[in-house]
Amino acid sequence: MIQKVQTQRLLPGQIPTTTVIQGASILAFLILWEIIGRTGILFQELVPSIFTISGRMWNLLVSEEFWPHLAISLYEIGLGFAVATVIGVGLGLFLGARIFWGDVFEPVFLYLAATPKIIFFPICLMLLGLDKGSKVAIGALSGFFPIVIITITGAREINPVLLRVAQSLRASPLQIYAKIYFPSILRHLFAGLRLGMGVTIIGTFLGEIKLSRGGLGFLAINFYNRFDLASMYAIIVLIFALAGGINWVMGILLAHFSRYRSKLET
Amino acid sequence: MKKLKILSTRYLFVAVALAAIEVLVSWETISPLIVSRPTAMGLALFQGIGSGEILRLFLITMEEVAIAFGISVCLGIGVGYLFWRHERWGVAYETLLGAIFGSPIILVYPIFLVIFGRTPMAVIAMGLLAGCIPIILGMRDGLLGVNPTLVRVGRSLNLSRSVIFWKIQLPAAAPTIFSGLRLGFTYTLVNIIGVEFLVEVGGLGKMVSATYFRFQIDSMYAGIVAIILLTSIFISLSYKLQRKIK
Repeated sequence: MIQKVQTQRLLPGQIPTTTVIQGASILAFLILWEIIGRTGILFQELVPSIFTISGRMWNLLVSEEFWPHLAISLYEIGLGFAVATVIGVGLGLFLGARIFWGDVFEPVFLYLAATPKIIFFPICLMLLGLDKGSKVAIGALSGFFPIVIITITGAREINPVLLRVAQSLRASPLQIYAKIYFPSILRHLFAGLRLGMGVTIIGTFLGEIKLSRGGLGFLAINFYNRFDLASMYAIIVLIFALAGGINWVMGILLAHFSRYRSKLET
Repeated sequence: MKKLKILSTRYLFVAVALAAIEVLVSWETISPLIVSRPTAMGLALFQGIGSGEILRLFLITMEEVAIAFGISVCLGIGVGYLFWRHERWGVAYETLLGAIFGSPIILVYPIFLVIFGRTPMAVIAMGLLAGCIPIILGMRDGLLGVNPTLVRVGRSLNLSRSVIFWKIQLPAAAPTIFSGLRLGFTYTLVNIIGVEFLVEVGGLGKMVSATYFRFQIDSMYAGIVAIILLTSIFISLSYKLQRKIK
């Protein structure tokens, strides 16, 4: 794709136009929200003032109620992501290395990946109950598909010379997977893991919102049912901050890994 | 020949897996309260199709998708065009929209519940929000990616700005614009079915949730299979259409 990129020449201390537009747009949105909230054009409870939402957020952060729910959500996301990674990478490596089996199963994964995973949540509930297990399962199921698909793609793009060298050295299948396939797909894998983490977070929170006994999603829908909408908005903002934070950490790890890999290659 | 072998292995695997589930559930090794027998699920699916119930729910889902996608297309194409014409706004908003698109946007659906209540409007609003962003980005990227030589050729032939846009830039950008439309449609469909399930309003998504709470396990699995078939058919069709456009 040919893309025209214009670089702006900035004087010292000058802020780029892009940043100004972005900042002004966010500020305009907040001011509009505040005006609607204060004037009561819509019901005041529907659009509470930003200061009210911030106050509730602070109350939540200093309350004892919030942190156990955060711990539950983090546990479910963490375990769900770990399960998705282990199964997704294992199966992806196998199907990527065996071209025939990859051709057999890849389309199935591609079509299932596009299905809204939350519709499988009733099965998770029936198998694992209302507690954390069902949320771990739906998170794992959501994260599994991008990870397995990207791992298959990565394993298929491996340099065949490396495989022939390994075979000529009589490397065992396990050694080939561990020493050739796994290091070669790491670049793809990190992109897949980042994507997988994103959908694991979505799956877990949607599961919590639908039916659960704990977690930030549970807290949000509980506030909705009690019509405490300022607290519900506060929780949604905190959920987005959490998702953004996890994504940011994944990005840092990815950048750190890429630098390490480049060093090794040079 | 190889393709036939791959296809037959795939279908054989599915058939063996279904037969194994049938036997294990019949023997109650797997509880029939948790997993439906494939034959019972198939029967529930055919009964649902025969009675017209699944078709009715399918049409409700498709109506919501059509409204949300229709508005997404109008909004996405228009805004994408404006972001291409006004580059600084485009660059600034591309980052903002990319950040929103990359976030777990479906989690804002309780806000739509607050605004619209438990109505199809809440479902449509969620589908619209999820669907219009890739269309905006696809439209802008497509027009930005047009080879400048093509535009210079148009200018050298003294073509007007509007002729250059309609006859050169838009056709050249079509594959990328269509990618955005395809992605927008997929996100609209997936989000609408997901929110239907979550708020128990609308068509096929509602069916899965309602049958789960009524403990009609066979119908619940029939609903899940219907959704998998629906999304698979639409995604397969959109891929074929995209290949044709390219």
